[in-house]
Amino acid sequence: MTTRAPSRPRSFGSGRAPAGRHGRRAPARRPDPTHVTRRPPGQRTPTEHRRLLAVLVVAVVAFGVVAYRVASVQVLRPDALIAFGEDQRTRVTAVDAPRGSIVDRNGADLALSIPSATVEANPSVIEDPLATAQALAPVLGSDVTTLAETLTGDGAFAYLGRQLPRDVGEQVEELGLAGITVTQEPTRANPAGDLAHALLGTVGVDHEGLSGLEAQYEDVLAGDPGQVTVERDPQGNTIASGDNHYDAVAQGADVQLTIDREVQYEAERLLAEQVAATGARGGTVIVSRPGTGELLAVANIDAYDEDTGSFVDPVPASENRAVTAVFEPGSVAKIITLSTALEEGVVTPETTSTVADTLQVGDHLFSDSHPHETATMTVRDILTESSNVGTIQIAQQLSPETLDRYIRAFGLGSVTDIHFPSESPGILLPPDEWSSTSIGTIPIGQGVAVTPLQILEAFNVIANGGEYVAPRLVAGTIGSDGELDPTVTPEPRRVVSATTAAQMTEMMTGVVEDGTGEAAAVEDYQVAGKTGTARKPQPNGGYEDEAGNYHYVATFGGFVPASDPQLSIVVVIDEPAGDIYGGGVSAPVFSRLAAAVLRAYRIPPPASLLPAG
Amino acid sequence: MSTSTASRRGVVTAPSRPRHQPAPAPVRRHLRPVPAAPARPVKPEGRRRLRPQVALTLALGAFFLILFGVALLQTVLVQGQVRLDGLRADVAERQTEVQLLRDDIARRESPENIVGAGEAMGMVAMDPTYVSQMPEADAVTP
Repeated sequence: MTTRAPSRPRSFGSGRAPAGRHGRRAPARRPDPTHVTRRPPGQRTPTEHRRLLAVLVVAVVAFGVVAYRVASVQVLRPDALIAFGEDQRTRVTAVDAPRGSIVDRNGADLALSIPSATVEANPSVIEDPLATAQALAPVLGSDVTTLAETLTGDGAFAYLGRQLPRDVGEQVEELGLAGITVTQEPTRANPAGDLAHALLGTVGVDHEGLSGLEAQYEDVLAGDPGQVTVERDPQGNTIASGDNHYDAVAQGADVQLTIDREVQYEAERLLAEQVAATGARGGTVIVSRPGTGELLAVANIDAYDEDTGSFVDPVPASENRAVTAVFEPGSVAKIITLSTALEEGVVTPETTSTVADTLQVGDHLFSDSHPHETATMTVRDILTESSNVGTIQIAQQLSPETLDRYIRAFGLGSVTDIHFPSESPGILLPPDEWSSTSIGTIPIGQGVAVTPLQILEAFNVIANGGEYVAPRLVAGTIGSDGELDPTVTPEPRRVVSATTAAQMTEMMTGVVEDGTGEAAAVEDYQVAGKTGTARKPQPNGGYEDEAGNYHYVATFGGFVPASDPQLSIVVVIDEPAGDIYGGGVSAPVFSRLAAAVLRAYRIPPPASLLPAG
Repeated sequence: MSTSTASRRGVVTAPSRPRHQPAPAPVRRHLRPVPAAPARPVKPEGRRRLRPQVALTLALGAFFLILFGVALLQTVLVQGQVRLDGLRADVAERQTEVQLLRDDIARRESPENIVGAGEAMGMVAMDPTYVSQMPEADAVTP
């Protein structure tokens, strides 16, 4: 039996046969399948060593990649990724502030915002535009071809209808068409129809005021929009612990007018009737409480279509000509001339003068409206009969500067304190620009241009005992607390003395009782007023049109009851076709309207005028 | 065939000295009395230290209890949020209804509508009437 030298265990990883103690190689051995080599712990074969090394490298590389990614995400560009994540789960919804309402003096809504339906389309996801159009057309009331063209294309958004009635939106939703969505947006509604249309103005499709009070009070009515920020899960539910916050909207305040809806309706109705009856182009009526300057009604009626050049049924005008249009007031301006003369002590109501029916001033021959013999007239007669000559003779005793000062103090020549959009200040030449005939024209209301509201201001000065009270159209704004924040108005200022005002009032009652304004009388009431009839300047610069015809503006202004004025009304009829005089055309409107408003406001006649009983 | 470890070791290495040497005899110290140790306080039964397994179990139990509590709280929160969302939608819907009703009321009570409805029923405009200041007794006097 031969004994082989025992071999040393192979060192792990050398790969070579172990040498003997003295450097001799051990003889090669044949593998013995039954031999089990025992390695001490910690010793690995080269293959295992390589594998472990490879695993180590892979692990290091993998961890390196992960570490780089982590660093990239957390350190290098965290903001962008945070924003991306927030964008995925955060939904920000802008919330439009509800637009405030416009209400009348009694809180009745004249203009308010109501929800409406807007139908939108995403053409890029509509597979069959024609079929979709055929389904939508009868609901939207649109043409199928036009609708199909809108729905065809790669665009992602198209309006199919905006601010439609809500039931239309519900019908569209019931169709369940792909690519068609219905959203809600507010629209402006005028529950009283076209009532006070020119006054209220219009609101655009994007809910911003475009004209009238809607534009003037845009800042008050619009409010401040807010937004809702909500974190939502994939199902669209709000994440309770998410970053949810609500930036509250500031609802627009309501604007309360001094207008009375019922008086406004009656003013428009009576004016429209008279415009139609007289064949006029249109007209304006203003009703106010002289003591406070509150305007109860501002009616504008159109019966002439400028585009077609033809007359139409009278409708509420779109332009508030009560403050934007000017006209020569004519004889109603005589109340200013005579008030000035009385106040300056030039005349008294009983002062007499010899009045012919014509008077040469400068290069112009002035005449009264009706021929008459030269007569001795008191100032009262001059006013009652509306004598141009008599008025000019009195005005010639005043300096232009004095007359101009009073005219402006009565409210002419400047915009009123209501500051309505596009309000006109009128046209009033300064005294140093007066011509030789100005002292003849201006005292009788020619050569000056005023707005109907300015004329009403002048009447209110007399009605208020000589004090100017600024007109008011907006009573105030009503905020979310429901309290009225009243509009600040200037303090009244004195224009003429109470004595002068009383004298003028007394003379003006004569105009209605036995003068040119008898048609303005109201049964059981004493009315003070003045008629006015003025020629309209034509585009050619003169008063005659191409056919040699004159065109007139008929006016009546007054207040009632004369002893304690509670109402003042001015009626302006533009180009009446038959009777051209203010006493025949405008005064009847005053009478009917005053009667209606006196009844509505339960204003009794003075006890002295009641029948004895 | 077997090779003893001793024989293999004898071939490979040549020990130069015996593997084991006798240890030197320990130096015995003199014995002396030890002062009596103070009596150890007897721990009460309830304050015995918990065994690690029990502590781990309790900790795990507490952990899962907390998790359950958080889940419960989250559920309550979600329910509240759902209710809040519902209420908000309800408020918006009610506001919409208010505006629509307000518009409807204003339309119905507008003068134009009232006049139209009256005329449709055959009513006619009355003559102006005035507020009378006369006492009733005078009014009926012939």
